[in-house]
Amino acid sequence: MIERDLTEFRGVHDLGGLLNEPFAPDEHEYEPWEKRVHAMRELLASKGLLRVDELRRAVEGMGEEKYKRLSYYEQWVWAMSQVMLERGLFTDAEFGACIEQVQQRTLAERLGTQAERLGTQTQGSD
Amino acid sequence: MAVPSQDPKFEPGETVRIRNAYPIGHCRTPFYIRGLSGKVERICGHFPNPEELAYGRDSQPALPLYRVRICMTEIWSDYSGPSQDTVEVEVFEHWLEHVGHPNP
Repeated sequence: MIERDLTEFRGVHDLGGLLNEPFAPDEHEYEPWEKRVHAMRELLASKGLLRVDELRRAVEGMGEEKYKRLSYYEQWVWAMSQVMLERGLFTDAEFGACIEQVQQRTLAERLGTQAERLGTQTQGSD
Repeated sequence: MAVPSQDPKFEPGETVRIRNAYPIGHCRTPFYIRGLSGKVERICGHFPNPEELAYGRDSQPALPLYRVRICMTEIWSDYSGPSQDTVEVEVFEHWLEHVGHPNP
């Protein structure tokens, strides 16, 4: 028989009763993308497409590695995408295609910025 | 049509135990109070079960939610603060059992 420790069933988020280091409350401005994520959540909730319980469940279920690595609103993006996929709002293929577009756009912006810099340097050396 | 809710099983002042259950899925009963006993401080009302809502299911009937007061000495074996210190956790009815009547 395999011995199982009950703590295996503790969710990664379920920190009550555990020892931890003192935390420093962090006052900070939210990035524009974070505000958009929050707005997206409100919008989806207003249309009955995302309950707070679904969001929490998806955040809690993303696995320890992601949970610890992703920032708060990155976790929301992950979780919201999961729930929308489950609801059939888009297919995995459609989602993948959007990610691909974003990557290509980001790459083009970076190359454009690099080209500008190179152009500026060339002019400056005349 | 909403399913009519049941009358609450527990009363304020009653001693209850939080079940030693370890389900997968979304759960709002914290790990650290499972198996501990406390007193019902109040009935909070009837609410849909988050464990069901978490998977996009409606939760009918709504379930009674209780505020349970647990002694710190129950939680921490080496608690050195005042013995009357407590923590209060809101727990759904299906997570509670009468003390002395463990679920089979």
